This record gives sequence, C-alpha cells and structure tokens, in this order.
Amino acid sequence: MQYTREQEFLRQKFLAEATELVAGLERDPNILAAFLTGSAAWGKPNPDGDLDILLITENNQGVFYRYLIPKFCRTPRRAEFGFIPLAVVLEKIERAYGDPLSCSAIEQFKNGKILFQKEDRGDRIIRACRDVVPGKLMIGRNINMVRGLMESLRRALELKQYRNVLLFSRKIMSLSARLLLLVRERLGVAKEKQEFRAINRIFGKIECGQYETVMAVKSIDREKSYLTLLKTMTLLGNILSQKAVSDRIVSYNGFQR
Amino acid sequence: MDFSDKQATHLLEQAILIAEDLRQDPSVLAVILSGPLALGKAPANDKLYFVIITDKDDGIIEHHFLNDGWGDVRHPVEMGKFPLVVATFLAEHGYSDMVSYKSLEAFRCGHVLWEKEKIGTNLIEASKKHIPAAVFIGESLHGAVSALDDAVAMYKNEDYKNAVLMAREAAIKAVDMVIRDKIQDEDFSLIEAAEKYLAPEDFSLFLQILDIEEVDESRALESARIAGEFARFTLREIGVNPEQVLDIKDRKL
Repeated sequence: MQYTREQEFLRQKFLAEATELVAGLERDPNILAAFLTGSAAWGKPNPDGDLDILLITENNQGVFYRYLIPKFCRTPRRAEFGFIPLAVVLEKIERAYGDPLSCSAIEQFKNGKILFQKEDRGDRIIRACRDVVPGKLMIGRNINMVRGLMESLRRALELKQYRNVLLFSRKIMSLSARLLLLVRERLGVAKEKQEFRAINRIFGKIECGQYETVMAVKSIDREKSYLTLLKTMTLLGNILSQKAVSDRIVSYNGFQR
Repeated sequence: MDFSDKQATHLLEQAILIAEDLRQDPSVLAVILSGPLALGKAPANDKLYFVIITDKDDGIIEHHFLNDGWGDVRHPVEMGKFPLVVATFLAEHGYSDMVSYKSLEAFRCGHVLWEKEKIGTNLIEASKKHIPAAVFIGESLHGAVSALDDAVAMYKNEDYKNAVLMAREAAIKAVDMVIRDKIQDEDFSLIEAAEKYLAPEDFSLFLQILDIEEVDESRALESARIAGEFARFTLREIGVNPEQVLDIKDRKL
C-alpha cells in the first residue's frame, strides 16, 4: 500500500506510542509477544484513532481486554490491549477461516506489526497465519448458506415479494464475493467494509458491473452518497431517541457535503 | 427482578456462587449482576454478565471473556472490571462513546449481588439519570454505530459507492435491533417486520436508504437472475458443481 507523507508520519507516531506503552510488559514472563493491529498497523490511520494492541500470553486464563483512557492512565490516546492466550491463537489458526472470529483474528495477526517478541513467537504466529492453506478452509457452511439463500430467493419470487427478492439477491452476491475471496486470496472477511473494498480487485469489469447493478450503487455519486448517509443518520437518530440513547455515541467528525 | 422461570433461577444461583468467589478478592468493592438475567430474562445460550468494582488506582477497565465459565460454574461469563474512580466518573459525567455507553448500560441493568458501603447500589442509581430505561442493547447498537462510522470514513475518502453500502448495513443493523426487541423468533422477513415495528416515516426512510422504495417485477427478476448466475459462477470457481448444491427448482434463476 502506498502512503502519503502525512499517513506515513502518523503510522510512525502510532508505532512509537504503542512501543512505549508495551515497554514495561516485555518483562512479564507470561507475555510472549505484542502486536500493533488495526489501521495504525496496515491501513490509513485516523489521527483521532485508538491504539489496538494484541498480546499473546503463555497462561490460558481466557481472553480479556484492558482499556486505557487518557484521563485516568498514562497514555497519549485511548488504547485497547487484548490479552489472547497462545492456546486460543493456535486454535483459531487451526479453525482457519471456519468462523468470523477466527477470520478476524488471523487477519489481525497476518497484518500486525510486532512490537516485541520472545523466541520468535510473533514471527511464528504471523507465518502460521499466512500459511493457512486452502485445504483447511471450512467453506461448507458458506456453501450451505448460498443454498439456503437461493431457496429463499425462489420463494420470494413465487410470492412476488419483490423487495425481498432484491434483498436476497444482494445477500447472495455478498456471500459469493466472500467465498471467492476466501478461496482465491485466502482472505477471510469478517466485516462488510473489507468485502466492499475487495470487490474491484477480485472481479473483472463485467462482474463488477453486475455486482453494482444488484447492489444498486451503479449511479451513486458524491451527492447521492451524501443523501444516503444523511438519511441513515436520521433513521439511526430516530431509533436512538426511541431507545432514549443520545446520538453523541456516533461520531460524524468531518462529515460534510 | 422476576425470576419465575426455572432456567433464570438456576442461572441466578450460579451467579451467586461466582459472586461469592469474587468477593474474596480484597480489592473488590462490589459485584453486580448485569445483562438479560439481571432484567429477569434468561435467553438460551446467553452469558452471565458481571460488573466488578475495584479499589485499584491504575484507571484501567478490564473486560474478560470466560467462555469456559468461572470456577465450578461451567457457563460462559463476561465480566467488566472497573476501578471505582472510573465507574464514579462515568456515572457522574454520562457517556460520550460506545465504551462509556456500554459500561453505563451494564451498571443501569445491574442487580447488586454483593457490595461494600452501598457502592454498587449508588452506582446503579447514578446511572439512571443517563440511561432512563433498563435495557441491554449496547452490543447490537455498537454494530450499527460502527458501521455508520465506517460509512462516514469511506465518504470522507471519496469512496462514495462503498459509503452507501456501509450506510445500508448500518440501517439494517439498527432496524434489526428494533425488531429483535419485539420478536424472539430468528426466522422473520426483515421488510415485513420493519413495516410492522417502525414508525411509518422511519420505514419509508429505511426503504429509501436500501433503494427498494420502488421495485417492479423486471428489476426484481433481473437482480435474481444475476444473483443466481453469480452463485453458480462462484461455486464452479471454487470447484463445486452447482447442480449438486442448488435445488433443481433454482435452475430457472
């Protein structure tokens, strides 16, 4: 990935901050390796973003997270430390892309930046995640889901429920894209945004066009996109207000026409 | 709390056992049961949720996922540990993001199992001014909010089509949250349920966001045809014979 000078500067800044935050943990014999993950490690970091750090532990005391909040802790920004026992990491690698949680964990390690490691543990985990072979892919569940969706699509067609037909068609397109990503690129997708971003890479021009037709985004420009986001914010705002939840939990930082 | 059902009573007994164990730690000031069980519900396969208040001064919130249970209790447990100073700050100042919202929601639903000097009771009371109704929707709400955050980030990166797709995901997750609050059945039609449980103006917005306000037969058939072709193409690409997977009736798609 190509980074602008500003993005590269931010990445280095995040890396330096994360390295400093985990410095004391290296002395803990229970901690085998530390990874910086998330957009700070491989994507375009958000200047206001958090630090996401995963720590591999020797003891199997379950997965737990620590949240460091600047007001209360010595941290330059909010930081999330995930403590994952080595046994759990190995189990996720073994399960490979069999479930979304394993997908997500493997992707985090594959693309993570090692902050420190003992006896090459970090390197070995990254290698193991990158080596997950197609033979281990558990795609049966996804194939069954395609079958189920095709059945639902057929029923909706028979009942002339055209809105449902569109929604089922979109789900089928989505699942098909994920299956292709999994098999062709060994890329398990845990989040929709990863799927959407990969479409142009994995499909040819014709398939991309078909995908956009079914997803109804062919004619989307800046203005239409803006209006859809605005409507979504209104809908979410209405739902939040019915639940007596303030919409300050959603950050629309910098959203403008 | 109303524990009329047998499953809920059994789970509450398990929770009390865990609380008894947790209070042995001298740093623990309160053990609060949270989540659906604290609201008197015991959904199948749900976890036991706890809020633990400690006297630690490191300012760190810990979130434990104990899928194998705690001690002799073999039931999945999720546990948030809050230093008193952090919990008090949240209860005084309210929420500003998903982490603080979910924390306060967990306090608000709470039922004190053990406490020193009314610390848990006071916390639950203080959280009421920020979260008037005891609900446990933080987890599903988080999905919708973070999808919308992603949509905004994509829009800012001039990725307009994907921003729309993400916004639709956010809308679907938000509407799904409303529906699941009303019906327990897993098998429901999103559109019909949305029409039933959303206000008419919200339902209309939802259809506009999904771009399915006006759907005629030819558009539906075209989408179904492409989706059917795609499914076959994908199956062939991954080395699976579509004829063996898809029902014969689907061949017309």
